[in-house]
Amino acid sequence: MLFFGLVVLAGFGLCALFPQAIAPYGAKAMHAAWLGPCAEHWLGTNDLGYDIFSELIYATRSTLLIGVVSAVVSLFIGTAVGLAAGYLPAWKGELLNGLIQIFLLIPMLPMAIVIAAFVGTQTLQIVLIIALLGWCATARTVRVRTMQLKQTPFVECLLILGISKTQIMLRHILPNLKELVLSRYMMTVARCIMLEATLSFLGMGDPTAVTWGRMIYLAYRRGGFTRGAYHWLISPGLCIALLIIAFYCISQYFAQKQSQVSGSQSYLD
Amino acid sequence: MKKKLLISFFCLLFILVFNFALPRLLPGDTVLMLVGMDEDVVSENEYAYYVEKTGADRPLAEQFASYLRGILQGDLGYSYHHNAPVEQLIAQRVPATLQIALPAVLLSALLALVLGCYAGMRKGSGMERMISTLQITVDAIPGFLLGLLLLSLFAFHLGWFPSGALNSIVVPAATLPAWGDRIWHLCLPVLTLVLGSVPAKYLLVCNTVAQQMQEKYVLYARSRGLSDSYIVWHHILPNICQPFIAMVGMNMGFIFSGSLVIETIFSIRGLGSLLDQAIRSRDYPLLQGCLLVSAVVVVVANLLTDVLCVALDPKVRCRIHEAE
Repeated sequence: MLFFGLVVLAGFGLCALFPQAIAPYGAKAMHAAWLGPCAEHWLGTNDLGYDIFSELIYATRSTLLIGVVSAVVSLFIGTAVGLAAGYLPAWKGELLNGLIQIFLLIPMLPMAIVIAAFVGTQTLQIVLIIALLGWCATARTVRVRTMQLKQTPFVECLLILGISKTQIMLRHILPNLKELVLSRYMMTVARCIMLEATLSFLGMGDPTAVTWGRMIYLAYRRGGFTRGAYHWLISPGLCIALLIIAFYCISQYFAQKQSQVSGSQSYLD
Repeated sequence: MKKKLLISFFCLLFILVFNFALPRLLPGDTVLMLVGMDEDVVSENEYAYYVEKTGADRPLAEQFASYLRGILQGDLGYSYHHNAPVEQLIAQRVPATLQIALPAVLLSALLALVLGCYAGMRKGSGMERMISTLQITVDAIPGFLLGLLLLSLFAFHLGWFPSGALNSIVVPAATLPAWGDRIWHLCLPVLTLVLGSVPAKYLLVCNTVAQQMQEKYVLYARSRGLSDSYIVWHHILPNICQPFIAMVGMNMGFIFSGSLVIETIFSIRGLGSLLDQAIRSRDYPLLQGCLLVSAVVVVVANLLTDVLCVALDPKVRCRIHEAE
C-alpha cells in the first residue's frame, strides 16, 4: 500500500517538477482540434487543439501546489488549535473546543464560494480559502489525542519536575503527535485537492492556472461532454482519483503506525 | 444538549456577522459589493438609488441592527440581478434540492450501515478488502465527474433514465404515475449523491464493528451460541448507532453541498443551479443567502440527529455515562 502510494506520488511529483521533459508538446502548442486518442496525441486534443496529455502534465504542478500548500497551512492551524484546546485548562480549552465545533458545522462549499466570489479566485486566494476552512477536522483529532496524552504518567512527571506548560506542549506532547499529524496531513492534501476541483468545476478556479479540476470544467463547459470527448473529461478525473488514492495509502501507513504507538484507538473521538 | 444549542447558535451568528462584514470590510466600493454590480454598468442615478436602498451611508451599528432585524423577519436581502427578494428566490428552489438531498441522506445511511456491518464482521477477509477498496476508489472520484459518468452511461448510452430535470415534459395527470415519473427522474442524481457519500460512513461503521467484535460482550454472546449476524444486528448495532447517527448528521452538510454541485449536471432547477447563476453574475446577496440557508439546514440536521441520539441511546437518556 505504502509502496503504491509513494510510486504514484513520485510519478506525479516528477511531472510537477519537470513538465517540459515529460510532456510531448508545449502547454499551449496548437494542433488540429477535437482529435481522438491516436499515436501522436495519446489522449487526443481539445477544442483549441491543445494536446490533452501535455496539458495534464503541465496541470500537475498547479494542482499539487494548491493541495500541498493549503494542507500545510491548514495543518499548522489545526495542530496549534487542537493542541491548545486539548491542553489548556478549563474554560480556555472549552472555548477553543467550541470554536472547533462551530467551524465543523459551517458548510464548507457554500462558504468557500462566497469568500471566493468576494476576494477573487487567484491561486493565492484559493489556497488561503481552502486552508482556512479545512483545519477543523485536524484540530478535532489532535485535541482528542492531546487530551489522552495529558493523562499519561510521563506528562505528570514533567509537571512534577516543574517544567513549564508551554515546554510540555511543544517539546513533549507535540513530538508524540507526529504520526497522527502526518496521517492527517495526507488526508488533508487529498481533501484540499478535491475541494479545489469542485470549486473549479463551479467556475471558481484561477483562470490563469490550469488545474485538473479546471480541465474537467472546461471539458464540460466547452462541449466535450455533449460531443462525447470522454478522454478529455475522464483523464483529469482519473488523475485526481489516482492522486487521492495515493495520499490515502500513505496516510493509512501513518495511521497504522499511530495505532501501534497508542494502542487501538476509537475511529471517532 | 445545552452546549450543542449554544454552538449551533454561535455558528449561525458567525455566518450572519461574516455575511454582514464581508462586503463592508473588504477594499472596494461597498455599495457595488452589496448589490453585486459592476462599476461600468451602474449610472450615477442608479448608484444613488442603491446607496439609499442598502443604507450604506448610515453608521455601521445602525446598519447591523437593521440587517439583523431583517434576517429575523425572514428578509435575506434583495437580488438586483433577478429583481426579486432573495428569500423568495431561494424558497422556490429549496424543495427541488431537498428532494434529492433527503432521499440521498437516508439511502446512503442505510447502505453504509448494511455494508459496514457486513464487512466489519469479516474484517481482514477477501470480501471486506474488496468492498473497502471499492469504496475508497469511489470516494476518490470527484462527485461531479461521477454524476457526468452516470449520466452518460445510464441516460445517453443505455437510455434507462431521463437525462435531466425532475419531471417529464408532459407530467402524467394521475397521482400515482406522476409520483413514479418523479422517482424515475430522481434516480440518477440521488444515486450520484449516495455513491459519493457512502464511503466515509461505511469506513466508520466497518472499523467500529470490527473493533466491537473484539469486545467481551461479543465473546459471551458467541459462547451462548448466537450467530454472527444475530450478534451484529442485535448486540453491536445498538452500541454503534450513536456515533453513526452523529456522523449522518455531519454528513448532511456534505450531501447538501454535493447536491448544489450536481444540480447543474442534471439540469434540476434547485438551489444549486441558482447558485451557479449567482456565481456567473457575481450576485453577492444571493450567494450569501444560499450560504445562510445551507448553514441553517446543516445546523438543524445536526440538532435533529442529536435529539435522535438521545431518544435512541439509553445511556445518554438516563445520564449514566454522560460522555465527557
